[in-house]
Amino acid sequence: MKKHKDVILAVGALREAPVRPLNQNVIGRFTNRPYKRTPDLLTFLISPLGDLILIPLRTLYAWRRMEWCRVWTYAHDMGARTLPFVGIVMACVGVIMVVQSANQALRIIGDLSPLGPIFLELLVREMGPAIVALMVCARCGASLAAEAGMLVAGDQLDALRLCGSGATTYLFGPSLLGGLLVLPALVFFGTCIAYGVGGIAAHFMYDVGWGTYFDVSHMRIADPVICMVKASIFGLVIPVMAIRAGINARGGSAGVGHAATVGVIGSSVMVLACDFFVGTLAYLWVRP
Amino acid sequence: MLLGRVVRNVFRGEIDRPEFFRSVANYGSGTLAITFAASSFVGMLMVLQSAAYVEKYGAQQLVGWFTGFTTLRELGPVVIALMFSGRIGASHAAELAAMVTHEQMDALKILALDVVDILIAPRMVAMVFCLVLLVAMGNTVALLAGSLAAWALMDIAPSVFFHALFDTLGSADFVHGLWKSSVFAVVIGWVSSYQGLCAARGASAVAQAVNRQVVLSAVGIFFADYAVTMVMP
Repeated sequence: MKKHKDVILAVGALREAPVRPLNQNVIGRFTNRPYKRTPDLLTFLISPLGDLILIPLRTLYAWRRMEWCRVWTYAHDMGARTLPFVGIVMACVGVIMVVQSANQALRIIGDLSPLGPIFLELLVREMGPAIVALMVCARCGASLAAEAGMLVAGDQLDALRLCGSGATTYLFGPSLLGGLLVLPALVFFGTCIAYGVGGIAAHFMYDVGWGTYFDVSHMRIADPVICMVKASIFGLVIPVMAIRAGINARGGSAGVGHAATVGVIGSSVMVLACDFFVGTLAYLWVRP
Repeated sequence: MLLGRVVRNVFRGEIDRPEFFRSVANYGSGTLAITFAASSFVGMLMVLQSAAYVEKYGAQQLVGWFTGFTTLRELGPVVIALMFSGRIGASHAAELAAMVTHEQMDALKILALDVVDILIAPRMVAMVFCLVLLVAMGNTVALLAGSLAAWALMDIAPSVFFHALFDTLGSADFVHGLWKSSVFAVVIGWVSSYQGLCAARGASAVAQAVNRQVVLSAVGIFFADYAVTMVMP
């Protein structure tokens, strides 16, 4: 009887609640206007940035109602199931970058001794976090957007709200925490693979000594710190951008396919943008 | 077999021209903005990375060389190809998967129309054409953005940047990226067509096809990058 009463109360609360479309973006929330299918330039630029700030804050606010079991699901999906993919791609990146850098170094400097230290610095500060994050966008951006899009297409998000849950506690929060947990570990793994495979390529293709290549004395403490900060920010950006693309999906299964595309592209461009801004701040903070 | 039939159609000149021009217009308009955005970030990021060596060794010409070499030979083509795969490859796979789901492929067979002739071959050729053009334009935007970033952050004049770039890099470096991009386009077209045609029937088939296409294209792009680097170092 108590359950029935709770359901009736919940339905009543929903009826009393102000009508607001689920896909209303941040500008819509401030101005109480419905979401526009073709957003203007201001909405297009500000909406993702606003959501990138507001959604983590809303996650913190809804901390106690978080569906914690889904954090591990997302962490498993973004971590363990992406690991082989990241490993293969970063091994290719290691060989490619060593071959290209060695050819250029022989042409310009005529010496291969700085190959390992320069490659390590480039990998830790830039290419490791950026390429691993782009791979996670490709692997998980589409699936996160498709999952959210399917929930919207099947009106399951409304059902979740009826049960006291919602997009923040069921989708955004768990995926965001899963990404924050997993991305730094994935970046560390990918960077190690690329550096190790690059070392093997440098030794067997260009006869660079192991000690010369694996010389880490040029690394500064700031380099791995910047790498992990970037990885954590990407872990937050990718799920938010992908799921908001899915929540904005309209038009059934075709709309879900389109949302998956938008999820991959939106998260990839935002990863590059955040990479640039964090890189600029890091450059201004840690000048050599 | 799919790739073989497309190659055969290209050599015989049996490409549906209206579909080719329609696809070129769609692909170009659909990816130009994201290509320019991604390329400008790549150019500026490479300048930021080279800044450490400039300040360490005091050699300003390193900025132009480093940015040009990493952008033209590696990161420019790869990042633009990943964007192209996420935008165009995914929508191509989704469209074919939706046609399979709605039994439109069977309708084409009944009308004695071959999907490879009327859809896949012209679109793959359009993908190669568009991606090569996009990489050429994207690399130019990346270098312009890089020169502006070098000017703003390190006070290196654009003339010094481009002088160093053209002094240290040859035409082979410019062409290398374009060769790569044509191979990437073939990979994206092949994977997206295959994933679209082999999609299961059902509501979630379209999203699954898109997901598989994006992942397999990314792996294919990096394998193709490795192969091209080994063949044409």
